[in-house]
Amino acid sequence: MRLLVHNLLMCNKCDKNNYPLKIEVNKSVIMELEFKKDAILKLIPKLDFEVLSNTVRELGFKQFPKQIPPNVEQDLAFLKDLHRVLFETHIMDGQLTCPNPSCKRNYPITNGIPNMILTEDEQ
Amino acid sequence: MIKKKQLESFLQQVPDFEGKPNWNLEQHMTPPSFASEIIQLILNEESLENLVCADFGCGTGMLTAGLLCCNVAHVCAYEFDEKVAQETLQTLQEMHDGAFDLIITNIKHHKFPSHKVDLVLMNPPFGTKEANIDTVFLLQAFEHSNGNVYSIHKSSTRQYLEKLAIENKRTFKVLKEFEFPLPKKFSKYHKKDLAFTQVDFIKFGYVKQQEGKQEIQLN
Repeated sequence: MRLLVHNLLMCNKCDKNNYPLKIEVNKSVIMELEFKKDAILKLIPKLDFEVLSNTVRELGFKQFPKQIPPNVEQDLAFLKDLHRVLFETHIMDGQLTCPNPSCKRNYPITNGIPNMILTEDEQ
Repeated sequence: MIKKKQLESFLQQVPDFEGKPNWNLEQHMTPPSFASEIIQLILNEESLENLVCADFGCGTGMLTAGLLCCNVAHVCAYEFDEKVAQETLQTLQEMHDGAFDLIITNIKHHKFPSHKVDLVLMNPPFGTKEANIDTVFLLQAFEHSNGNVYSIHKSSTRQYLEKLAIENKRTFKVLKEFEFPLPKKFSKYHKKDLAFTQVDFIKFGYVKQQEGKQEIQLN
């Protein structure tokens, strides 16, 4: 599971304060992928960048910027970091947790796939 | 632009469901020749370059594989069957180094955040086993996409779907009619091993909402 997917997931069980999910990583891998500047640039406005940035920094990449840098089109170093974070980093094993204190539902990530299915009595 | 034959031979590498497909989930593979034609039909409508895409009920990953051949930025493939999701992730990773991810979920109760994908392409269950599941998939796709939704449906539901599209401020266009091969167990009426069902490949076009402008006109 890439962090791009984390940006698109919320708790399926509750309706309030259910985004973003807290993420706990037991195992992650880097799989290299061709860097495409145009693709990354087009992707930026489609992200919840604040959520991505908080997540990345919580996971240990403390230098990752809190905001999209000015002159982002020329900032190749940032774009390459973003590429690594969004496209090359895979969470293989871990869990996602609902941030709502009255819910805290866990969703496991197994073999690189998050499982967001609710049990029948949760629906 | 990728050639149809080239795409079709690539898609022929996608293996069918391993073991017995789940009847209740209406698991049947989109044939490679269809998938390839469908991708060409979409490319006639728009460029897929750098789009963030979703495939609801991806199954074997046939349509996801097709999208990956068109320079998309990323495909989110959603699947209910855990085992199928794991197999699909593995086969697609071996076939293509493009950016895609699998998510195990029930589209019926899946929640999407407010930032949306650019395109949804899907072959949802036809609603043979669970009534209206095709509508549920469509409404979720409309909700989650700030772009066009492409989907395969039984031709018998065409009028209903056209109405549904209009109610949801989408344009409606049947891009092609197909004879879709279904294993006979999917229908009690089918006597032969393989029967054909008439299906439509439909574009539910996204219409940009201009709410602000409308308010000014009303005043």
